[in-house]
Amino acid sequence: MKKTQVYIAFAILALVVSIFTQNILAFKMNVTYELHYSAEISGKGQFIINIPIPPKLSWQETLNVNGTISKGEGEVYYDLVKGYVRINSRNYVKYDAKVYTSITGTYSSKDVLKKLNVTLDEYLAEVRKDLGENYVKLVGPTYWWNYTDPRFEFFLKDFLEDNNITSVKELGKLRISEVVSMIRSYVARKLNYMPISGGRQNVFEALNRSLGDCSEYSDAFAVFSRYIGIPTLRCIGYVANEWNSKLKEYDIIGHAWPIIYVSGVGWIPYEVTVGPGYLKGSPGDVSPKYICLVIDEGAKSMEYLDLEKEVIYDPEEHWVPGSSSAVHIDNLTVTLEITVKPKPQIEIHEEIRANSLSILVMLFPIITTIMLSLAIMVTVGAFREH
Amino acid sequence: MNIKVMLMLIAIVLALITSSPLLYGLIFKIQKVPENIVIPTYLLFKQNESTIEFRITEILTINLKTFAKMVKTFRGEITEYYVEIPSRKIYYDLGNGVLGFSGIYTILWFNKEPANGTEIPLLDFYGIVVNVNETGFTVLNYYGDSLYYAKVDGVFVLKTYNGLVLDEVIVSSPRESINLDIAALALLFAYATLSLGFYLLYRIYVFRKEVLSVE
Repeated sequence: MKKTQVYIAFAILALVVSIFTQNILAFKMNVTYELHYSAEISGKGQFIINIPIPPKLSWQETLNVNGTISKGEGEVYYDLVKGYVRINSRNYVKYDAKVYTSITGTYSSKDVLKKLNVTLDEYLAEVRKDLGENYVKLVGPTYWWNYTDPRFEFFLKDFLEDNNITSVKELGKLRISEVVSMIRSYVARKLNYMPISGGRQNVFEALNRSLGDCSEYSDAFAVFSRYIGIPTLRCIGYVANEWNSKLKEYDIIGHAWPIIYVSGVGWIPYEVTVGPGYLKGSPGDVSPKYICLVIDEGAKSMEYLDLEKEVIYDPEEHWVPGSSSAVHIDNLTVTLEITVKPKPQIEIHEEIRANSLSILVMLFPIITTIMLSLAIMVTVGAFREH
Repeated sequence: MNIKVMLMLIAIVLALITSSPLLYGLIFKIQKVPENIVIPTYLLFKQNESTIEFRITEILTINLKTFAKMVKTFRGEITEYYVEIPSRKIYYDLGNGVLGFSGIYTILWFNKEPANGTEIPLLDFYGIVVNVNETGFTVLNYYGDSLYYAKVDGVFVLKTYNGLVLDEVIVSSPRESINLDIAALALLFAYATLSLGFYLLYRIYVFRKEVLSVE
């Protein structure tokens, strides 16, 4: 084989590899968090409760749970994929754990962009096939995303007019990335960002008042996208904001953001809240600062929560997992504190050990030298009287 | 004669004791940050009354990696963190002498200019390098903002930070905190050699005495 042929073969191979990698390229940054859980549950008699831990999603994975019951008795079981720690106990239990969750911050994933570069009709055909019977459940109206509410008609008409479209059917010919971007822009135009106290608002009331925070932005997005047929849920979790050097933990911000289903990729996040400190990305872009703790299906109030099957959280958002305040569900009182830190990786106290060691090393030859000197002096009779 | 020997031995002992801090000092001088690591040890960004200050207070070498301890002061609040050089990875002190990688990268400086078109991490997002030349380079970040890095004494320093303009910068090659592992080993070796030498001296003395007594 001649040299030229070898070079050509290498060039072809490099071209093939570059074409292949082009499709999966994305800018990625990885971080592993250590979430400190401190849960205290008291009630009468036997109880089962599911404490939420970050579930497995396309960009995050809980690697390990290292927990113990520090007070009381009970059994503990955990599911890293669905994202819960199940505690089976009686009367009272205190559970402490360290949960290690890996987040892959991903930007401009060619894989995701390629999947979103098809028309809405093509996308819907694919997800319908992929999700089967579950599809209807993931796009249907729910308690919080109720597009059967008569008020929705007004906003739908407004949305279509805003985008110079006469019917929802017309959206089918547009690319899915354009459609979600149109919904995001509409929601951003209709709502002005303002932190809302007092829990989650009804989405139509929020749109009428033109005020909302992440809860309302993500609900408004979800109600439109589900109506159009895009399977949409919502993440409730945290943004690891500034590092607190005194407390040695992150100042975390409770946050909610929509996730949409993409065949072959899974659930991808889409930040729609236009407010300070939030990502302004394309669908699928993930900041390594975002930790999803609970997947919200938008369907329930806390009174309907089945503690033996579902993770504890408050769909009305009066209580957030991780806050120091207690929540009362059925006959249980639950306090669940969560603090977030990066996973410990490098020990610097070896330097301190080395410091003590070096002092010993310095002292050792000095003492040895003195002892030897004394030994010599005794041997040669330096202390002997003449 | 015995008094003479005693005085000589005392002199040797004193010399050895004195040599300990001298040796320590020698190791301290040798173990400093490699010459090619030059970093901005002080950065001040300013706009009207608003300022943000970054100060490097310490350089550490841990597991053959170099870390700069940064102290950020903004609106009276102080945040401490460590930057790995030259990767720019930000680590936080978790207490008990343990560092954890935050997943984000410092935006403040580059030790070496990246190549044109390279995608680089900046805080929790990324940017693309454009217009690399002898005086600096520009990064178009994820949010569409243009960040300019100017070459200052061989280091590429960010010119504007969140709307604040770089007002003062000190670039230097800071001396590393002593590498105590190497210092301890070096001292152990030095003193073992000295002790052995001293012991041999004693043996010679005894041997000489025996020879003299035979004569």
